[in-house]
Amino acid sequence: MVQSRTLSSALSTACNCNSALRTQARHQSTSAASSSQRIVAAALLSRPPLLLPALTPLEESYYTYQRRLHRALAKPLSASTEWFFKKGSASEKSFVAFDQKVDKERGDEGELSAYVKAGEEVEGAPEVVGRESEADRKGDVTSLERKMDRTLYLLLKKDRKDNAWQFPQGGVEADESLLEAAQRELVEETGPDMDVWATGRAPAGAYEYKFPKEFVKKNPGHDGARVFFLPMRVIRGQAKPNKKEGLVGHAWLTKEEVKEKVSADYWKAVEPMLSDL
Amino acid sequence: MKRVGSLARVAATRPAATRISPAVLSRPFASSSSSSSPADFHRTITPGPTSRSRLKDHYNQTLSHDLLYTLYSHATHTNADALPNPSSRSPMWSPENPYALNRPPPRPKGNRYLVPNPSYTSPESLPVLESIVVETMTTSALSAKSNLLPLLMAYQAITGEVPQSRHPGPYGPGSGKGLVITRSAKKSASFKVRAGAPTGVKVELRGESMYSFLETLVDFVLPRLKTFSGIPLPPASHPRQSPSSTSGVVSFGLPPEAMGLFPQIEINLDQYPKTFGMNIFCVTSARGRGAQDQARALLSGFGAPFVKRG
Repeated sequence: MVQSRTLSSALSTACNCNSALRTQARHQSTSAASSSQRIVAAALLSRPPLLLPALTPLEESYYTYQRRLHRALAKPLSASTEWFFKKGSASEKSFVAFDQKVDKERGDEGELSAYVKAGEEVEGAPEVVGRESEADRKGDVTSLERKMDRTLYLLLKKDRKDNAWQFPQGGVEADESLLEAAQRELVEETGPDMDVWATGRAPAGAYEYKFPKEFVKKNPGHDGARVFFLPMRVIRGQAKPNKKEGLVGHAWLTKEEVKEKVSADYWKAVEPMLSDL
Repeated sequence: MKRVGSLARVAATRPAATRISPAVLSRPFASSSSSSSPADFHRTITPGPTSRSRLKDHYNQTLSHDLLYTLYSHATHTNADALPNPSSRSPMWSPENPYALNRPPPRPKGNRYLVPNPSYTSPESLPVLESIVVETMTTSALSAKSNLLPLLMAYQAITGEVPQSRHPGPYGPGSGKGLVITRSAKKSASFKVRAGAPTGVKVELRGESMYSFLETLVDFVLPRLKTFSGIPLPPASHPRQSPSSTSGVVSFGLPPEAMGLFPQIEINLDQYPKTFGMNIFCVTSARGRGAQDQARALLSGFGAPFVKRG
């Protein structure tokens, strides 16, 4: 629930000026002489976790204990097998086999391995799939199948030394909304091959920064920018960074990995919006 | 969310020192309870969850984060303080009226509940699934009570709950747990119903069993039910202030064919002489204006399909 902090604080500033933004953006296109902040929309595109996190030793022991407790309080076995399973079916056999296994271990209660594995034994399951994927083993940060129990965020790399990594972003044009701008920029920068669902119409947070002086001299009109982050989820497809936009790479990163790639100021603004899970 | 059972492997690779001693686990059950006699022990014991719930974890990890943004309304969020308190608008007796002495305040007009004001968007105000009530009524129970037996057994298999007993205990009367036999409130000569005649079975699911029921429903039953296109949405003309729009309950019915699609029943469908339809009420914590929309957003996040009425 980290996002809530930013939502309430950022939105109170962001959305109060949301209606003003449209008129402001319109004025900016006509009166270029006044120095002001450029309004930028960024796509906070994430892939939700695909797997549940691994159980802690305490949780594992707790569930083992509870399985045993439920078993002890359950109805007698003969009543349940006769009713719930067809005679001679595979499911009846596996149920009875499990029960015999438990009976065998009853003398040696310290082990309890039958209860530990009770949640894992799925009839007809071909094999136990590992938590680690091919992408994890190779260290491929561009894959969507890495770190399957964590939320991943899309960062794009620009061809420059400082602040190379950032979320897909771009200026708000004419009278389009923040969300429309973020979606348009995402398609321009990563191609049309990705299906994306916008979680909400309101930004999750904001980040302000000043342009370098040389840049202002060359491009008068704005002396800084205010970036609004629009939360989105990727549904399918993959990002293909557009070289014409000056992008040289992309990565799907966890919260901790994002910290390593971006500047300290950027991290300070972005950190409360990212999920720890 | 994919289901991957790799826990056994994780457990195997973990160093032995971090694991909890088996001696703790194998302690006799009675010693962990504060009860004095074996009879008390059975009454006070409350078994906990035997595994974690996939849908609950999905809610905590992903869905709650998304709902925070999806359900955010700027107008509501900023005006939450300024809205007039609905209870201040409720009618009052005149203090001079002798009729009003020691009487409760008059009921508001229009046969409508007082609708609470919408509140700030915050993690605390997000809708949570509180309980699922599953209920079936059958006219065949009126002629013979024993006609409820297959229904009871089917409910026991589907929900994992046992019939509420007459004796005190975790499933005793008033516990709100277990399968409850519903009874008719009024007599009706035309339908040949006596007052208090058993009419069907009802169960309120909470916690782990609630999530596992919903998971079974969404993953195994609804996708295979050919006549089911989705939970119907009310028409746009449906009043926003009606009790059904403000109570935060998503309700829908399933035909008798659906019961045979539950895996617990599917394995020995021949055992059941008859299948029954059921009404399902998903009770969420959403209340007040727009509560129904919030409840639907939550259910939709759990994978329940919704469809517009043609």
